[in-house]
Amino acid sequence: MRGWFGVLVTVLAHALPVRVSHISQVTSWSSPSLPPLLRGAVVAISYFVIAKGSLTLASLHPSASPVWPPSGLALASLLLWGNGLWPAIAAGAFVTNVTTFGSLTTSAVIAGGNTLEALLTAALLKRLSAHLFEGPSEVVLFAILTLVPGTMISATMGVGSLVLAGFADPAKFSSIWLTWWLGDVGGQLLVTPFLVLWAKSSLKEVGRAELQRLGLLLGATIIIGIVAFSPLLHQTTARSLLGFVAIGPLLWAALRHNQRDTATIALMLSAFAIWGTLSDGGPFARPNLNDSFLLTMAFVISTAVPSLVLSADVAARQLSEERHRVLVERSSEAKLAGILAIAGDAIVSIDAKHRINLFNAAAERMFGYSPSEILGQPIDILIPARFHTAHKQHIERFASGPAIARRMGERQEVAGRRKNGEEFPTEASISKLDVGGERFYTVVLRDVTERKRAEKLQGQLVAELDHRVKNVLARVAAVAMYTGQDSSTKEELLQNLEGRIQSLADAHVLLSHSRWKGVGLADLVRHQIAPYTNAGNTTNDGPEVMLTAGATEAVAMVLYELVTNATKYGALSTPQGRVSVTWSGGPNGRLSEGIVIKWQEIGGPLVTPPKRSGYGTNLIRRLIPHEIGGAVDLLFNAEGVSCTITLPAAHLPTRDR
Amino acid sequence: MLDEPFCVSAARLRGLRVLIVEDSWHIASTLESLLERVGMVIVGAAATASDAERFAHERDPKVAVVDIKLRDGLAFGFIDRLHDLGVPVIVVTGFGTLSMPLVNAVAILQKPFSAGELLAALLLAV
Repeated sequence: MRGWFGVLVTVLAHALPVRVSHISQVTSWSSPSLPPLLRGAVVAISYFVIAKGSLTLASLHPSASPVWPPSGLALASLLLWGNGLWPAIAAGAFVTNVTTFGSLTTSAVIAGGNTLEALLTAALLKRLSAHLFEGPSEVVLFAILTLVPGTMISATMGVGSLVLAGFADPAKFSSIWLTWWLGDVGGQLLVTPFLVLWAKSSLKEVGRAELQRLGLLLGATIIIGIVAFSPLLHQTTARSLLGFVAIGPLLWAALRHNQRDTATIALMLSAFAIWGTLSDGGPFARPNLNDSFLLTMAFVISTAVPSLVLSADVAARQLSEERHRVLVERSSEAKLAGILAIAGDAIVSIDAKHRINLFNAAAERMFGYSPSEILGQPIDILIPARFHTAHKQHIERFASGPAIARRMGERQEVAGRRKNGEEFPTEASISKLDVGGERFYTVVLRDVTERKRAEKLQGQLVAELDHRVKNVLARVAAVAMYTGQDSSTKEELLQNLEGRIQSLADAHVLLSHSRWKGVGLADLVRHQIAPYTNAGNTTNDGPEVMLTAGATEAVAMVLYELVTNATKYGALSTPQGRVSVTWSGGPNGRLSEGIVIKWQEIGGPLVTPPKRSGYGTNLIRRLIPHEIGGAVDLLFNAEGVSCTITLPAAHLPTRDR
Repeated sequence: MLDEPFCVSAARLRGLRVLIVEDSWHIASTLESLLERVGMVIVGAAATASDAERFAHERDPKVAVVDIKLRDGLAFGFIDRLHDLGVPVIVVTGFGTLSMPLVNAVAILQKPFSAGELLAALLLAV
């Protein structure tokens, strides 16, 4: 009898990987291809075979074995394939008991208790545990549910029915109950995680390296099982302590493997422990075989549960670390992608063979290639052919040089070539990076076409300014010359010259404020005549109108000559004299046709026309017709000087324009 | 303003008909008074290329002093036409560099220039 069981346990212990593959196949059978009836039959027969084997360990009572893996098989079956499988368990349990001991009734009640145990525990697990075995608290919950209430109900129904039917000694109720209960607890605790976790894992996904590691672990566990528990070695007092060595593979599996492997190791070690105990050897041998098994189960449970909890904790931490790592990776990838996408400069990476492996959005815009066209292409595609050799040498020099990065401007301009063949100037910076022994270069390119255009424009602006300044200087020189010709004393010369230059400067200030877009005529009139008038002796009136820069300068000079002439000889030389400056659209009152400005002096001394036409008079009459194409009519009427200035419409920008 | 020896050597310019093309009235009138003082005859002072073309055809100038930048544009085309008419051209300009080569000008004077420089250029031209 014992020999037969020993063979079974040995087969179980040594053939675990075989059973493993068998179970994963069972998982795959859960697809519709396997009829539920056949599945039920497989479960029922497995239950029966394992149960019959386990009952060979029963010593206190023929129906109560301290080692009861069928309870784990039953629970795992319901968890994996649903509660609908209960009849298979009931059938397996009934046949087992009816062929063992007792009556049909006791067998039925025992089978009912076994089935109820599995159903109740499975139902509670499904209700209370959202993620079975995932995380330490789920494992603790599972361990508690193996203790109460399912296993207790099974033990109570089983032992109760046997006692009531007279198949068991009522005095031994509590010890048989304890044996029954502990057997069921051990079965569920050790077998259920093993079956469920293996069924959920796919051997196909397990890599070769992992299989090797698993093989090593299983080998070490077998050696430890043989050394610590098996009857193959002679049992001594010293050897008893070797039982603690069993913790080694359990901890190793929990820390370095996973829950599935931890459950496997726990099951293997318990098989060895049971084998040893069965042979009256091992560290748990007691005078009473049932006591020996109870002690064995207590040891096995108390080492397996913390190991499973630890393993679940490690798995949860690994998962959380992995999630965090993925999150960090994704966020850093997203950051980089964001930077690459919004960068104004083209960013291009190439590998050691100068093939492009990164091409950002700005590079797409700059070169006109899409990433799918350009990735994997040689960098030469972006460079005009005549520079290929020089560019290659450049990169090779940089590659062997000590610098790890070169910024823009540290090297000369590089010519780029767009998809349409167009060449353009760029400024480039480059960096090199060794990743895992492979070299990458990242080039940042800036299209300087626009900047060159701006520089050229800048040059043109400077040339224009140069031209203007020369003209202004020439004008000032002319003004100075004529002022000198017209002045009789040095003081008069300086005063007149200063007034004329100041008048030019005032007009310039107004133009500068308007950014040379044009000046309002009313502003211009006020600024030019204000220094020579007092409140009340001048009036000015007219529609709001703008003058171009050229007209502003010309009108300013003419107004200055008129006002200084009036101050010296005309209406502004006496307190009674008045000057009015009025303007209106001309000649028919429409500003679109130009403007007519009328200068009228009244109330001054009697006017006599000048004998000689001086610089001021010439300027008034000729400057505007010459420089802006208008007309000027200057009259020295006896009652007062009048001057009619007609400006063409071309010199009147509207404010809107 | 003018050195005496220069006025003497400038005698060849006396009575010579000159056309002034310059958009700045101040510069044009300075040129006028300078050239009048050496005895030249001013046939006109134009500020635009169109006026200048008209004067060139109607008033028989023998030499022209022309600014590049005129009120209605640049004078390159006009200078070429003056050259075709057989009128030597002295260019005066405020531009440091010119955007087109001026093969048909006798001399190019950069503003500001002195009276001596202008008279020397005129003597070279006639």
